[in-house]
Amino acid sequence: MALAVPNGALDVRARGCPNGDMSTHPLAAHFGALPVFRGLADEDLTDLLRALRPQSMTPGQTIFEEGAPGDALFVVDRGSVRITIGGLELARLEKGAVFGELALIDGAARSATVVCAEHGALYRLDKAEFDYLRRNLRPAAFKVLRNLSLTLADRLRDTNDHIARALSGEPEPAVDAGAARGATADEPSLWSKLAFWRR
Amino acid sequence: MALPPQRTGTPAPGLEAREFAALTRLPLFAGLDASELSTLRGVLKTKWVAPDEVLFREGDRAAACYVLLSGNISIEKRLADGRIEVLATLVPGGLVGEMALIDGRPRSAGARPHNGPAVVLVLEREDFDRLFGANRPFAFKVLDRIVTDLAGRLRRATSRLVEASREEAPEDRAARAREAAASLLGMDLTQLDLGDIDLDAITYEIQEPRRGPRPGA
Repeated sequence: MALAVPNGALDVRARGCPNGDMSTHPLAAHFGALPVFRGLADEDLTDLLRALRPQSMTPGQTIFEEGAPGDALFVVDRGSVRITIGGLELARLEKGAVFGELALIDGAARSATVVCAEHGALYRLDKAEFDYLRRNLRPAAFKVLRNLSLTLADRLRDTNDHIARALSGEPEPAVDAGAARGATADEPSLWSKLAFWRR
Repeated sequence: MALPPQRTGTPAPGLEAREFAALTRLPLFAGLDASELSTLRGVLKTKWVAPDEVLFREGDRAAACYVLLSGNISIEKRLADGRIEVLATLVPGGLVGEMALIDGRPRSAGARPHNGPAVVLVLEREDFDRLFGANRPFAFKVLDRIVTDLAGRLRRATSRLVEASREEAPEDRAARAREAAASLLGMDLTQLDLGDIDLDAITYEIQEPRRGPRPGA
């Protein structure tokens, strides 16, 4: 997982592998270890590696803004990013974390802003590339969708719990200080309701 | 709804070709080609649920997803204070329990017939997993529909919950929370148009027929 991919390396990855077999490719182990790409066969990785693009980031750089069209999913390779809604920091994501997955699924507008916190690099999976795989019923696309759906299922359960608490008038559980870093004091309840962002 | 003479036994060919074609207009199965529909036909079952039975209970192991064909199904959630809250009432065409196809974790809410019996189509998780594992387009397309729909519902529910968190009065907060719950449930309920689906024409394969009136009788 500590493998740093030099710029341009991804562009030659598939061509460097005879018969498209990724099992001997150094990047196969790297991507196969990420939860979002779990369960992918070698030929699936070949499909995905063609669609992934490396992207460097510097602190303060906006990756995408709330309300912008959702056109890609990102995987943090190095460094970290901050997720905010309405200026409220909800989470800080580090290596291996995935964000922007709802956009990959339905392309709707971004519901949060993501800004680079620490210098590093991301992998970008464009919705256009992903949709190509999806339209052509490539197993790679659906295995990724299935992995993403597990994340959505967790969110759904969080949301269900929040709804049940809101209906019974029970207060939201206290937010731990570390996770609440950056949250403004006057909106702790909003923050705790969006706990799934911390995953 | 008039039912044919009761028959017992399991799976397909309970759905005749013409009647089955009607089901393909349900949002979950839209876009399936002839071969995928044939796969679908091979795995779908129908189930008749008596008024005093439950389709599933909150906390049950999730083994199947259901499409409501006839009757109504109420979705219930047990609240922290022990009260039972009816989150929604499904009408024919509604999808329930689809999370079973995704992660199979215990049911987050219960489902039972409302005002009389109900007839549902059953898609077992086991069958779905087998087809997905074999890279069958049928399973890919169905997963695509479920995940896309789920993403939209999560967005709507989250935004209602954010509104709820900003409401001062408890009753306003509860109202927004109910809206959030409603937006989490059911696939494209507002977009459903069952007008041209002749549900009465569907031949049901009756499983475990019980006492009580037949659906719609």
